[in-house]
Amino acid sequence: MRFGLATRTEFRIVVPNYFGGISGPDPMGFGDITLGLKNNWGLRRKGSTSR
Amino acid sequence: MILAISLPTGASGVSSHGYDPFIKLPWSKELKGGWSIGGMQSLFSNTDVRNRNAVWEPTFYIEREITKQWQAFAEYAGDFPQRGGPKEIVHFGTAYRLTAGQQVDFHFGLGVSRSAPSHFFAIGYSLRIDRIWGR
Repeated sequence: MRFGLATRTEFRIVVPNYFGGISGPDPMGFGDITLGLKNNWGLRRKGSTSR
Repeated sequence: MILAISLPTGASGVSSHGYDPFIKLPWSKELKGGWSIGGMQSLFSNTDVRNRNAVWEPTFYIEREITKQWQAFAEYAGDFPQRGGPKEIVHFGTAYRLTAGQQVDFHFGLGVSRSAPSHFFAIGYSLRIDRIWGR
């Protein structure tokens, strides 16, 4: 989830990923939550959401 | 630039069990015909058995806008830790923008180094809420 604080700054909460192994002994479950800030120095692409 | 910290909230087999800060420097460039390229240089300070293990992660992608809402991409990503073997993957995916602030994506990938998973797939959802102040 990303919250625009200003034109070029956003606060980000990364909701944890869920990891599940289809085969093998890989660990399963939710990963860690991440909190962060992003500041955009360049031109912002119209409608850019994920990158 | 992204400055963030990961909190030890995950499942025991998945969480790092530590507070892990990182910095990311993403870039992108639009090309002609709906193509674009980009990537990210990231540096993580991960918890590794109660020690710190720095990980450098370069990524590079090429993306094609199929329609205004629909994109497809191919990406390389590598994790190069201070201790331990490198994990390198290539993955391919598609993203569909539901609204100006919502997107779903699907991707699958292959490991190209010994420490990486042999294959994986993922589904994602991203939500952006703009101008929470000054509406």
